[in-house]
Amino acid sequence: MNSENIKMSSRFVTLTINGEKKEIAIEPQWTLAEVLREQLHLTGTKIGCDTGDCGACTVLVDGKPILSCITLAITCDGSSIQTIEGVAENGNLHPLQKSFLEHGALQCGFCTSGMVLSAMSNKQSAVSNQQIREELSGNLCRCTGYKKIVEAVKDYSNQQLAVSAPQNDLRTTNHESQSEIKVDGVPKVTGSAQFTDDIFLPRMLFGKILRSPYAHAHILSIDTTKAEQLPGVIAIITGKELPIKYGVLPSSQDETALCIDKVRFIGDGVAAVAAIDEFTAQEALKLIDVRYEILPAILTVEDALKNTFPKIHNDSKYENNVAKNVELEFGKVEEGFAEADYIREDEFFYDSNTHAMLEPHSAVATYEPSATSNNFKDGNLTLWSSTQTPHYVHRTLAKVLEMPASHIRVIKLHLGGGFGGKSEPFALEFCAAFLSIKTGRPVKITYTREEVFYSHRGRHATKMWLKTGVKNDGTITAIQYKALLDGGAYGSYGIITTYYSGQLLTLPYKIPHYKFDSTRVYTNKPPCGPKRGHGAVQPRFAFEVQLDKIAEELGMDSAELRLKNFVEPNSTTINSLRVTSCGIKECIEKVLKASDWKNKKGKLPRGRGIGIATSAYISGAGKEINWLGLPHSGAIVKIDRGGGVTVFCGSSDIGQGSNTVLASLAAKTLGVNISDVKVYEADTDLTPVDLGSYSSRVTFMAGNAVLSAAKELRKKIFEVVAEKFETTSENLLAKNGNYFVANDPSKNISFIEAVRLAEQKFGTLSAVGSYTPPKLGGTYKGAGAGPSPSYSFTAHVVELEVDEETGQVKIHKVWSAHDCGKALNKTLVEGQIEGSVYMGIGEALYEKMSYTKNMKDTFGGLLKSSSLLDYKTPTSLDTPDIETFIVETNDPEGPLGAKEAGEGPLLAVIPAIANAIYDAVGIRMHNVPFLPENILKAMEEKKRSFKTEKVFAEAL
Amino acid sequence: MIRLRKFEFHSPTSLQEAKKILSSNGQTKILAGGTDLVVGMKQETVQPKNILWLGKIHELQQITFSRKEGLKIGAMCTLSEIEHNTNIQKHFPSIIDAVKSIASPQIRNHATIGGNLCLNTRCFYYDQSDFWRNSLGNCLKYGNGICHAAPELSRCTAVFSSDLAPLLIALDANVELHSSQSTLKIPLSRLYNDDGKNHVSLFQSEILSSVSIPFNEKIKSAHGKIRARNSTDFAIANVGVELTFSSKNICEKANIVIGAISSSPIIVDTIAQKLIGENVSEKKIEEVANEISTHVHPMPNVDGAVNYRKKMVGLLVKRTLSTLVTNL
Repeated sequence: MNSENIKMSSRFVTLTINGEKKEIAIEPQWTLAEVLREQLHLTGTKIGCDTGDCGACTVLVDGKPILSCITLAITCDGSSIQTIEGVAENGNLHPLQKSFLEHGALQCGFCTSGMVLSAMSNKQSAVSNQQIREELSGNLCRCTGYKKIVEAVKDYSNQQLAVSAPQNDLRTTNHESQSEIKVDGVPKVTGSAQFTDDIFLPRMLFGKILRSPYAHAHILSIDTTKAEQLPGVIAIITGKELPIKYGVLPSSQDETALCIDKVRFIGDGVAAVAAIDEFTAQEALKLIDVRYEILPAILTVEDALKNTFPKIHNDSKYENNVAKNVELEFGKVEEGFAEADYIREDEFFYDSNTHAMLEPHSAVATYEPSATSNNFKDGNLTLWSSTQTPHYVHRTLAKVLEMPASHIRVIKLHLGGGFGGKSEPFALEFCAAFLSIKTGRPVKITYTREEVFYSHRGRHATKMWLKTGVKNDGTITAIQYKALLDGGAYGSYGIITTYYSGQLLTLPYKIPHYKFDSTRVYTNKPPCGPKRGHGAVQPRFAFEVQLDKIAEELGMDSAELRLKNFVEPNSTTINSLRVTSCGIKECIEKVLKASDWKNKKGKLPRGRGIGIATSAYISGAGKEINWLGLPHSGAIVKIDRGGGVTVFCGSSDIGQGSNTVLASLAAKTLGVNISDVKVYEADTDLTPVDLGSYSSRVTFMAGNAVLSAAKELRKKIFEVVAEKFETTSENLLAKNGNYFVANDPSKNISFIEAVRLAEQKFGTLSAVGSYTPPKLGGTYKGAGAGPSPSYSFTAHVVELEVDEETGQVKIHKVWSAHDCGKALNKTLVEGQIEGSVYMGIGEALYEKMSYTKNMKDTFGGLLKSSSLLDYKTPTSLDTPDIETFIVETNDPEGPLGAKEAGEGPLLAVIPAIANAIYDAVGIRMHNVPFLPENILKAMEEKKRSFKTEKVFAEAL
Repeated sequence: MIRLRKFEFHSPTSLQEAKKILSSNGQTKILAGGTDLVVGMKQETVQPKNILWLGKIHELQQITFSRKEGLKIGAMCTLSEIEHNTNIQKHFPSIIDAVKSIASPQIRNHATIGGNLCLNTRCFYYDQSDFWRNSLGNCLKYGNGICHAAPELSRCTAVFSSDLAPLLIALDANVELHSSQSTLKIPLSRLYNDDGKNHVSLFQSEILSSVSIPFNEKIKSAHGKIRARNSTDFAIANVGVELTFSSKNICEKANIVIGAISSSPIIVDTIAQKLIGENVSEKKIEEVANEISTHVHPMPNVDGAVNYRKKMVGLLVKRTLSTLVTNL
């Protein structure tokens, strides 16, 4: 037989896709993922890294999971391929899909297709959790912490074994805790959920952004002639065409859509191309000739503070490269220290890490010209974007494009994780929009994984100095804190980070005197911004480790020292943070008991250790970032004659389940089933403004907005039902689709009938609700950062083992208790806690943004960890069992008593690990992350009896 | 998505045909599972004009075993086929350990033993996108510039990355090489050069068709690997060990091979010989491990700091030998 020698580029292959045999014309260079997503429109197969590191593209080829992003489709000729779309059969979900839904084993859904397919293989014999973790170890998840996924697969495998066991129908609630199943769960387990990159429009162009290869340089010229001549290139834009500066905070407008005369980090956008296909766009970038004048790159905070370096932002009001400085004193810190019996000072360093959400940023724009004018500003622009903050994108697009906001529509579809990394406008949104305007065609730009890393906005590397005074009985008398934050090249939310770094240290302990000095500097590295636990994570690490040392010095149990100092419910901190509900004591008691702390602390065999830490976090910021005095969240609830309830809210479900929470609040208030409620979110044309998914605000703020609209509707319905039964509204109840008299349930009518009566009386039934926080905080300058309508509280205990020869840490178990107010959905709350713990473990032990250094004759600043192979997020095999405890306080202002759960549980993980390492092997880790080599180094230094107290970062 | 450049695709159904295509087409890359090559093509470190895929050649997909002939694994056998082969599970458990330590389950379902043995060397400064490499200035391995990991050296120091090769060398494996002129069987150890840019000595027209491993009941072997995460990651250090003991537990033969440090596996012959003639004690193991650790010189080019990797080599040798000796 002769081989087929491919001279023509295209050829036919036969693939049996989900049982259907297809002959498809493909080109040899197409990957299987490309063919599945673009030729067959099976977009449930996701691209997370595109280089075989994350597993999101997993499909089954002849029954075996493989990575479709690095498999050439042509090599699958004759094979049978199963994608997520083929898992459900005859309109029924597969038992594994049901199990995922019932266990809450999915959040953003981006890894779900690959996870489900990796776990699909027939379970012939009993499988252990460890075997499941191994089977899933090539599928990264950034949301769940893997626990619920393992449980879902385990449950499915048990079902497979119990052949005779009756098949359960999918319940609408999770069996363990009677939580409602995620309202967006089914499309996510079947692959039909549309994410931004899944959009394909007729005539759509692909955009790419040319990025700066230098960390700091003047742009002398940009010549696009050659690129324009490349067949297939339709348009090219440069920064000059979009010169208006923006920034998510009104007081730091320091970015432009593309750089104009200066680049500030390696990866900064310089020009953008739209072409008929992505390959052409890729090639066109190479033909753009940019001439630079290279400037010294500022890569360390020390250099940023020197006046011998050029300024990164010439118009910055601060000296040198300082971006922001905040100095505040509450009480009299020196008096506080004078009262102390014991004072200690320590230095800490927390390195930068990033969100690494599994879905890369993506934006699709489409533009319709005006009927009456040739001015593009009169046309209409629609932008789909993977953003946590559609409202900020909307507003900023209007500013930068100088178009009326009323002509711009921003929509967020399903979003594959954010963690703060998609909470402000990014270059691709402006570029896709403007390229679409220029070409009159839809334009899609999806970042490569490498570009996601350059876009960053993650954790600020922070140098910290901390001084704490205590009395002999452990009572804290004063704290002084200094922080130096490496902000990278732009402002982002950095001003808030600078404040939060200091302002949030006054919880969860009573601090009578407090002073902080927090400085953020610009450097020529990708900008830092908000990551889960924004600003508060680094100082929390420092403080909780220092507390541990103090406890040891005082001869006190470290848990007891903490208990001694906790704030009380309904109190106010020295910097005017108002605490309402507070379950921190219950939290610590839960984890102490569950972990058997008393019998373990200091008593485990060498190498094994246990550590504790606690924290508090905001439920949304008390001040809107624009200080306009407008509602933070708005909602419309509409009732259809058929009994359907629709919620419209500008909030963004980014996987955490906010849509489920909003649906549930509406359902509970109106007494209907959650399956009768639909949520339309994050569409600036359809939904009232909500500021977005950041600072743990959605349940609290959007929840209150929905609640108030739903309550208004209920009031109207109660009114007519009360009339019918000749009673008053107070005597009525609404439940399970029925409205009835509480003490005489025989007097009842269905929701649909009640709605009909109400509509007869009031006309079409809809109501609006909005939420504006009460006036909070002090009156001093800077008092706006830190206040929140409510705070969540967390306590963690970690038990781990340190391999004293490799320096590797194996975490055996984490016990986590979190006060989230009333848990509106326990499965979702647990998911947030487990995901936070997982992410904290990643920060503590594995993840680090590392850059090339300045050398003798070249400048550095190039990100070394720019893939999911080099940037190490924990796999299922690196993540321990996590036991969660939900501590329910009833928050007076939260919707049905609820407050945040999404970020708070991350903070104390890192210090709890550090404290456990100390308990295990007697070394204090002052630098995050605790990489094995650093642990070995610290152990050797201790052996050589060097003082480890002053171990400090070599360089930021 | 990153889009690949066009190439001509060839999928011969016999070795004979494959050799013919190979000798008549320049700039041809052999494609096996593609888990390494396709990533390289996405990063544009490799841009072949022709791709020769061996997936349709049945003779490359066989695993055979007999006590006399030993084990023979066709180059196109996937790592998971090896993992599930009962003969290998029974007679070569160390190979199973080594295979399981490679990458992730999905990669093992697609990656082949031939591909693993010919895996490209790795380096922070090379395994990056075209943009990244240009930003830094390209390197020796790519074809110009300097070695960013070791600017003082005039050769490429990219790291040998196959987890299987060190063990298979320790097990005295041979590989069969086919070219249009000849068929050669050479020791696996002779396949590699300590040159990161050109670490596999295959001629353009040669195809590695199989690997064979002799069987000897007396042999004890083990594989050790340290990596940052328990899945997906390449080795910080790895080691393959084979020891033969007399009936009185006296060590008669010792092979220790270190991977993930230099550009080729390091066969620590002279140091390993110190175990011979001994009833191997923990002290002796420690001595040998320390000496090996001193002997290896990693460059700052992959996961783990240089000194850490050096230390881990010693530790792995110690742990691997100890396990073998303890289980006697």
